[in-house]
Amino acid sequence: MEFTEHIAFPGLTVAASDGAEVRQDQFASLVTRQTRFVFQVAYSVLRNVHDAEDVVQDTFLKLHRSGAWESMENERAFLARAAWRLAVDRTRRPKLAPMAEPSVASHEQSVIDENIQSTVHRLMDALPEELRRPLALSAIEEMTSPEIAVLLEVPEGTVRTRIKRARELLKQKLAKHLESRHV
Amino acid sequence: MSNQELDRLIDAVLPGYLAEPPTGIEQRILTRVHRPRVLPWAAGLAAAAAIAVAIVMPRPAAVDAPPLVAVHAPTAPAVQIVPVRVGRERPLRAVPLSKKERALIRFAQANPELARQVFVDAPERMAGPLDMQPIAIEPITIEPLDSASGGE
Repeated sequence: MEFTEHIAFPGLTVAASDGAEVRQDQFASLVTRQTRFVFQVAYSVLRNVHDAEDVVQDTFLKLHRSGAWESMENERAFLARAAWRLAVDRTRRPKLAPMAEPSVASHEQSVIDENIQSTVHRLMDALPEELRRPLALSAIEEMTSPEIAVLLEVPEGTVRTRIKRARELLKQKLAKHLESRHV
Repeated sequence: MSNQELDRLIDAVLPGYLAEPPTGIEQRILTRVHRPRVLPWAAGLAAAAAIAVAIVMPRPAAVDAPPLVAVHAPTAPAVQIVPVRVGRERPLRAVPLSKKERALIRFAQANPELARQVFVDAPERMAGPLDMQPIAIEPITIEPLDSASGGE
């Protein structure tokens, strides 16, 4: 909110205007500081750059309008939670195409000649969502298991178990794929 | 490939699973945040007001929508529907009288009976059916020329 009213006391007007500018600077600083993190949280769900950016913009817009950003205790957790909810909601919209979850078989057949990194990513895409999401979130820098647990609203032990299961499944499929390449 | 090698491989490629945000995203966020907000209820209120005005506002008389009449075209056997223009009544205006109009008024004031005959009776007669009496022409009688010239 911008203070543009002319108050009878010039000193107060300046102070109010300065306060608005300070808050704008603080919000801009928050955006600069956390955009990458929020984007990656959204992207881990949506796997689409445009959709992820929309979610990031919506997240900061709602935060700014509600004023909640001024009273956040843990801004990373707060932002991650807000972006996560918006991203998950977006996947539930019927008009949007569902997130690509092609079968593992089709992936394994189509990625034979691709490099190993894209192969792993495609195999990750094919994981069940309950395993893929914690694994994808663990790829975000400094995203710890307790943070993922808060975000997914599951116990921390469940997060660790799911990440472990996801990795095991990924390794199996990757090994199978590599063997098929050498044959 | 061993289990440890697969783990190392996954660790190496896992960070690349997440895309980097597109360039300029921060600026786009701040631009959108500081864009003037159009309140949904204000837009709804404006639309409702427009509808209310459209309902309450008196509609122009039927002269704006000319009636359709069927006209039989002389050459075409089919019936043509053509709009008939009905002129809108012009509002009265205070226009000064011309010299001829003033002279006519003076004439009518000076000779009211004659003016009535000219401007009231005559048009009525013209509008009514003509009542013409049959013309009776008497046969022409011509005296014989011989009797006239024989006297000389």
